[in-house]
Amino acid sequence: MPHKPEDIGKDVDQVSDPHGEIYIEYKQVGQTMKVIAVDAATGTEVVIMGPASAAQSHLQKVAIQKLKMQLKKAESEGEAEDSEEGSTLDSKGWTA
Amino acid sequence: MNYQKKFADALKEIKREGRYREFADIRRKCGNFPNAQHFVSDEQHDIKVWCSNDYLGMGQNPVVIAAMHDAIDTAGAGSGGTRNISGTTHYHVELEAELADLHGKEAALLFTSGYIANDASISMLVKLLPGCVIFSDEKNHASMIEGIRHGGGPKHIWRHNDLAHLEELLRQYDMDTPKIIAFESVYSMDGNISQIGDICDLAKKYGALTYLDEVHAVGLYGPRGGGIADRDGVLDKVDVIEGTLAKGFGLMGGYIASSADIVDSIRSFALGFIFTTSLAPAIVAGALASVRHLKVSQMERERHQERARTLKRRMKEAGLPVMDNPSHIVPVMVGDPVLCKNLTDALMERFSIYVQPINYPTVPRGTERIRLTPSPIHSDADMDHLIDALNQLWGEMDLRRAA
Repeated sequence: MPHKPEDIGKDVDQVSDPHGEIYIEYKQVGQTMKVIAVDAATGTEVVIMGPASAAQSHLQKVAIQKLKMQLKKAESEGEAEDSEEGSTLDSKGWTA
Repeated sequence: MNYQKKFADALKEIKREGRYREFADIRRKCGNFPNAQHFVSDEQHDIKVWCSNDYLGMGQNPVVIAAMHDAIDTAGAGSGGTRNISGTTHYHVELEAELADLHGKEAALLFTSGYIANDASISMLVKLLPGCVIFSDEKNHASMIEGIRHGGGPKHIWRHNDLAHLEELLRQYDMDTPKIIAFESVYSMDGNISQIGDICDLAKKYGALTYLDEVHAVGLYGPRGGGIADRDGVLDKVDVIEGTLAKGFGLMGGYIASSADIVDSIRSFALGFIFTTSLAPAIVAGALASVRHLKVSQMERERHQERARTLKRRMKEAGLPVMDNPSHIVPVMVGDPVLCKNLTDALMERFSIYVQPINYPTVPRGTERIRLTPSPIHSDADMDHLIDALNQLWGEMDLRRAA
């Protein structure tokens, strides 16, 4: 069922975290709140869903936590790629 | 040796003690929770279930049932194998991502039951950490105790929810000794709740990992149904969260959520995960629908808490010995295994109310009880009927009332 325009709300926050600037966007559709957290430096973004009735501070914390995990994962994948540079593949697999 | 006599004698002994378990033969009614049919000989009777762990009635929720029908039509009945050999369906992958998100963790891993999740995960964590010492709350579930036993390392049992005792035990070891603190959030038989944040702070102080069993809380507590750790805003402090799909989420299966490396280690080494056929796609699809629904819907949780509070208040007003606690569980003390069984038999036979007696070894001897689990769907009229029946039987059986 399509939502009525008055059911849809949108709001944006900017949070200064020790990690850097994070933009938080809240989109309410009916009883559901979609929270998007974006790392200003890299543009990496994550999405979480929660009840519209939940405290925004709680949903914000969950979204930021998820973003940090995503950034950490990207960072460790980048490090792994760097360490593989210069390695060669022989018949037994990769060797440094 | 007369083997048959040995088994018969063992059964005779538990029957004499009044703790022989009889299963009620019931069939739940689709979409009509908490009603069911009770099968006795050739007859069927309509009953009201008051002891289900399908706490929110999600096993009868139309969103869940539709997702299961759809999965059967799309993918058929079984998963086809172990997770490693053709049994990782797209439903499994999606649900694990959804559960990791629910608990704010990097990864999650499905098991065929919560029991297996605890046994396989705890034992493997201990084995992967040579010299690891386990600190276990004295009221931890049998599955955690089995996991600790199978891990084989040294262990300490700390007095239930007693953080001073936990610290006293932790203090005996240096920071470099690997340690795991294993505990639950909601203890299912008494209904009390642990101080997760404080326990995690102790773990940090003494260099321990935390393993939290949230099976009686996932779906039920927290703004997104992530359990007590979600409610208390301490998800990030817990290292490993174990949950079930069988209670708040209404299906079956268990899981853990943790860092990618811990989850990958258990995925790679835990025998209870590796050597078993994975959950059927329909089960996983139903669980996925249930988790997604409860992540954004507070209605079931709010109504559930209100029903539990109302039932406790009304039972206290009626002089029935409800054990006080801050959770949704409503234990009522009987204190004798035979009386407990007689009480629940009479509830079923005379009042069509199904409550299972809780006897030793599930609870200590002398603390036998009935354990009521009001759901969001139990009505005021259902409560009237239950309290009238209990009042009548309490009087007839001369059971101890509240002081």
